[in-house]
Amino acid sequence: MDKRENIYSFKGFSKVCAFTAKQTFKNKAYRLSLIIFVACMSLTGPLQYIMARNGENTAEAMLGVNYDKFAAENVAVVNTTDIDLKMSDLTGEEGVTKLGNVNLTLKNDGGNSDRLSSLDALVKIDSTESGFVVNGVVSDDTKIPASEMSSIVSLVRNSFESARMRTLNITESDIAVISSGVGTETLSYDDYSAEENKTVSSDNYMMLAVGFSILVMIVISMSTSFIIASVTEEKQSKLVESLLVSVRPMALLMGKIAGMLTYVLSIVALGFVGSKVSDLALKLIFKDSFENRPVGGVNFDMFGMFGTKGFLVMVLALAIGYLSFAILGGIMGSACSKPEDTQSASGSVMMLVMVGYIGAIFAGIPDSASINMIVSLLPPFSYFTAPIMFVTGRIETWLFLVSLLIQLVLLVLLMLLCAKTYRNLILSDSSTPRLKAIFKFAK
Amino acid sequence: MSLVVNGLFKKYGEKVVVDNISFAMEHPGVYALLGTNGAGKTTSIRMILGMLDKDAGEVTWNGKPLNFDTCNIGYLAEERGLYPKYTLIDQIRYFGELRGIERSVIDERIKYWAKRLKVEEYLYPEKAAELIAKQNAGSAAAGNRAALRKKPKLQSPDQLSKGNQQKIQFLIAMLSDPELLVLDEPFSGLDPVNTDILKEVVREQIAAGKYIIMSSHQMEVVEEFCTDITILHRSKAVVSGNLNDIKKSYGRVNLKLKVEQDINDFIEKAGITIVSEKEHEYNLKVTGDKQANELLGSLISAGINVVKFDLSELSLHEIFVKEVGPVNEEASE
Repeated sequence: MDKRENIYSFKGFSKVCAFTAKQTFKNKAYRLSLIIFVACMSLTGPLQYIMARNGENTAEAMLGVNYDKFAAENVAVVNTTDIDLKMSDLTGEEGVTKLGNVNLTLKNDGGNSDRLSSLDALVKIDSTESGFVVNGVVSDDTKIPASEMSSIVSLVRNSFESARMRTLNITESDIAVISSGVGTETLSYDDYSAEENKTVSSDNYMMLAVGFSILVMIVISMSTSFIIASVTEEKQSKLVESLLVSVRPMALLMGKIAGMLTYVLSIVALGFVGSKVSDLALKLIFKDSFENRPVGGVNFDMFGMFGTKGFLVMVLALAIGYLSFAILGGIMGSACSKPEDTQSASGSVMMLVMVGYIGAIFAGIPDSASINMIVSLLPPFSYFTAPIMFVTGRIETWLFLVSLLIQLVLLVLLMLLCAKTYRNLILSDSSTPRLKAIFKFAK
Repeated sequence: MSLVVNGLFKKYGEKVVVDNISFAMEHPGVYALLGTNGAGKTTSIRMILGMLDKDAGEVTWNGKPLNFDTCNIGYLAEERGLYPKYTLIDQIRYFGELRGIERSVIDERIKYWAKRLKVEEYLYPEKAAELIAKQNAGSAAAGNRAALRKKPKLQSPDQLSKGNQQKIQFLIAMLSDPELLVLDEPFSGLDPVNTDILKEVVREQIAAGKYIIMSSHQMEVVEEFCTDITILHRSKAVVSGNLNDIKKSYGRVNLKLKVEQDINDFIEKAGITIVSEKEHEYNLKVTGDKQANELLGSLISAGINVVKFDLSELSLHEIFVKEVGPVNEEASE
């Protein structure tokens, strides 16, 4: 007769899962974490957009002429050239000056010898051998900011340009064509093909890689600490002895991990919905400019960027990564005999997570095919890199499937090891075993 | 139904912690697993219940390997534990659901056992309110009524006394209405009132035809319930079998004698050892029936009035001490 129990049985799994999920959602700290996390992740994308837009607006404001309130009171434009500059060139068809409260005067008859006060400015247009020059002049004790003076000179220069073109009988549309110019840009092949293939550029890839890696790291670190604490609590309180007459080790630990996964996936789902809602709100407010925004950083928006396939790949990768590290947490937790042991157990798991995270980020910089292949196949890097590399086209489908297979095999091996170590260590009060001793249980 | 434990063996590294333990329960009743601290009782129980791998041996229930799939087991562990922050009712239901019991049945049983074990006020807010109302009945002035109407907050499990935590654990063990009940030190840490409550439940379970394995250091309690015992010492079974048979094998050696005058000379002459003496009431250690009867005959012949003559077997406590006490300890070393 077989003297060993079937420690891999999943009987009771669903009950443990339901209980863990229920207690996690009932826990105030976890509820608060969920709300904060989802709120932060939902709003990160829009906040990044708004901040970037504010930056643009500020820059525009610095360079533009749309000030409502100018420091300058009197600006005299003196045109000494043969070009006929009219007041309407400076104020527009409506006759309203673009310089707001500034008292603008135009003289086409030579210099102005009056002394300037601190709030006066003189803009003088002169002919030179090579063309024309527009100079702004202020008093020595001027109170007019340099940026404002720059705007005033720009306005006058643009108005003079229009007058000059008109004198040459060039139409407005001709002016537009002439002034549109020809831009030049040097692109890497990756960026060029990314634009051609409508995938993502290197910069956007890095944003996605960092965003996804941070997301994986946050989710794993949150849940792993819970798993370790929970396993240690059951072990130290001797509760596990009562549990093991009703449920086997595998079902107990996997139920706990799956219960926590419910919480994790709820965060992802709520975060995704939240980011969609916040995007929709911004789209209604900012319309086209929001549509053409650059790829965001750390937010759930990335789950929706690559269609249903991309969404499923990312959720699946997140779940496998979570399960693998959570099981590792379970193994470490079952080895803890004292409360202080949990810190070193969490530390060990987090160290591995950090290695994967940092490796994934650095591996994305060179975009080398061989590095992409290595980090896509090799855990722990593959949990962070493979899905993003796949959805952005950096690795091929077969490579991603092999990566997934390796992760699944490792997951199953971890589960088997976990069931054995859990059974052997969970009732033991002896000192925390070394990693070597834990792997001995695999035999 | 029957429980058979055959050749249980376990070692950690080079240290043997359970060495070839065997026993059987052919009929319902209480089987006591006794032993000194570290003798291997808890390890044996864990192996019997399938929580721990056996290096050798087997445990069967009706011919099938014993586990919670083949037998409805109730277990009260020696070291009790509850989730410190989850509500008691939630965790009791959880244990019930793990046993595959329907929610409605669980709730009914919790209600029943909470009342029996007098722990209702820790599970139901309305019962806690009732208790507070009773306690404040004398001083329940109008000003206090509002406070009494307020629903009281239940104590969290880690705020419960050790005894109450133990009763909750016992409730969990009884929740599945088990056919095999394993009680590891069930009475330790209980006050006399709660001990009586638990004893009453154990009596009921015996009457209901349940199989009970009990481990305890309280010999008088074990003796009150058990029919069969195994005494473990340093991982081995030193005594095993039916308690009455074991007692008979040691003979009737305890003599309680009460007379109306000093009989020290008679006792000395008969070569009997005096264990204690108080106002002509003697506790004597005899070699058997013959020596006791000879003493009685000599006293009657001398015209001494014998008020009490009680010749009895060794108590379980004495058997335990005899087998694992200091004398044996020295012998084994």
